[in-house]
Amino acid sequence: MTSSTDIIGIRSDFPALNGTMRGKDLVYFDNGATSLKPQIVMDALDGYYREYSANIHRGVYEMSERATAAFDRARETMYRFLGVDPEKGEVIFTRGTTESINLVAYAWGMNVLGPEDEIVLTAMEHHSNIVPWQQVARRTGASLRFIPLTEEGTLEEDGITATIGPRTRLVAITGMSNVTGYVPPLKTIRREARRHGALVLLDGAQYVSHHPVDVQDLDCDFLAFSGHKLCGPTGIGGLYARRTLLEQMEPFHFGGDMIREVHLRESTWANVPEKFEAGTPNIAGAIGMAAAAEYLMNVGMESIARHERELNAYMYDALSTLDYVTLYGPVSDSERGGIFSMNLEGVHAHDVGSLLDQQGVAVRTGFHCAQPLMAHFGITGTVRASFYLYNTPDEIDLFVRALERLYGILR
Amino acid sequence: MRERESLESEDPSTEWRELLISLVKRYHPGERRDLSGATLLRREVNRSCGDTVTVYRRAEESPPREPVLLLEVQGCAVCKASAAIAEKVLPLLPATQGGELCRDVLRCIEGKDPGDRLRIPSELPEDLARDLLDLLAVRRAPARRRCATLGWEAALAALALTPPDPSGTLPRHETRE
Repeated sequence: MTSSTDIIGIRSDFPALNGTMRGKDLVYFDNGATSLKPQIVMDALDGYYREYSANIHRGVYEMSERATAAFDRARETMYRFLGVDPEKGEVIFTRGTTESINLVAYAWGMNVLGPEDEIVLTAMEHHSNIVPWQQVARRTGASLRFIPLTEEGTLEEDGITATIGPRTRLVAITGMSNVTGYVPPLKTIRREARRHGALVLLDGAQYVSHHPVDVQDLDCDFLAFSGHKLCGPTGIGGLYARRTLLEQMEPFHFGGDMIREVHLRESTWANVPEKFEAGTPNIAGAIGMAAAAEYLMNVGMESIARHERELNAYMYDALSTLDYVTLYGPVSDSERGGIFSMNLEGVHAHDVGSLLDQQGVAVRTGFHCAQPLMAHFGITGTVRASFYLYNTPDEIDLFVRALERLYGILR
Repeated sequence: MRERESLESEDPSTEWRELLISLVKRYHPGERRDLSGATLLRREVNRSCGDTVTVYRRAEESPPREPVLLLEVQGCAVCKASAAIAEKVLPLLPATQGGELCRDVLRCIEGKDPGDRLRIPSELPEDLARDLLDLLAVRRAPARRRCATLGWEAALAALALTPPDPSGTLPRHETRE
């Protein structure tokens, strides 16, 4: 496991971990919803707003030039974080994963798909990777198909090969379930998609913050992600896409900064990425997200992934001793990221969450924007504990003791 | 309606979770009821968690038993306790007064003014009045307010669909344990 010295050092980077909740030391297990922010990110945001908060591009004065340079550096940092070769791909700044998926749905799906085409999804997707495709299907006549889930909410090769076929134009799938932490067999999915000439969109909201990412290796066509889940600010995220696709796609939003020339009755578009970034962007957000990505790269994404795997094994063993806990998702550690969804026999998830809150433990409860997956499991919600680089085995011990205590109270 | 001024549950130091546990113990869900022949009047969903409260009007039987509102809950302890209190309270009141109470409960739970007082109808027995007041402690947990209001919203909507009986009173139903 990452050494305790390392963890202490990491924890001291996150001011929120010095705080309390309900008078208790905070145990923050809601990283699937959003991560805490290190001081370095707050400093980056503060630096922009305090020292050079000018608008970018076309400002012929020093402060604007400084802001433009910081914004451009932020994009370059994201290239390094994601392993993007700018000759082959591009990172568009968006408000986050949801907007990134909508960008693809509107700028690609609405313009390219037709009644003969199929979009392949799964029932474990976050609503943000289902609802946009429902709209695309409704407007274009394309069909939605779903790779079947096993009882434990995983995918099998037979189901993948049976669902992705010659009419498939897009496979849009999560890189890591926000409910169960399940990491689907991306290589198999990509292989089948390629075999039929389909594109692959990876919903990286959970995956990108917990795994080393190299888009060349992932070999997806679109990768959507959020800054706030990787220690960055809220309201900023991105879309990686192959450059050739972005050049073919129509803009998503229209207005200033995305144009080449504007005439009274027609306009032409700027090159990518500006073509997809109309209006003043979230400059501070991009700078803050880049500071977060730099921070994570310094810690080491492989170290973070290894630390979380070790926390997973510890958590799994601890929960296995509680016979009233039902865990959802894969049994195999190798298929699970640092997310555990569970229910306590006869106790509603919200009630568990409220009593954990009383003991200083922050978890998420409910259906986690994944109602089709809840329907698959035959439940309405779960208690979800999700880890990140600053969590510790001691916190897991505290969480488990809190579960035991509250179960004794509520049952 | 008379107003109760001195309320233990209004004490800011009261820990609402303790009240929640207390309500859970007192309104622990019993066996599933027979809803055959019942008319579905209204279904409300908590969109943040998917919990539901469904209001039925029980079927008339022979010999005639007057219809009564039944609130079936798929939800958390707060939702169940709140709906169970509504189900016990509303039959004790004339329909219009029941509607007023629903609105008053919703106002007190959702309201931003912590000084809001619930006007308790004098028809309510002391224990039910106390439980109703205890329920207001959920105001201190903004994320759980909707759990408590769901049943009252559903009941209010259902009351609007239920034709008042000639006496203007919703029938009393037998105690359920």
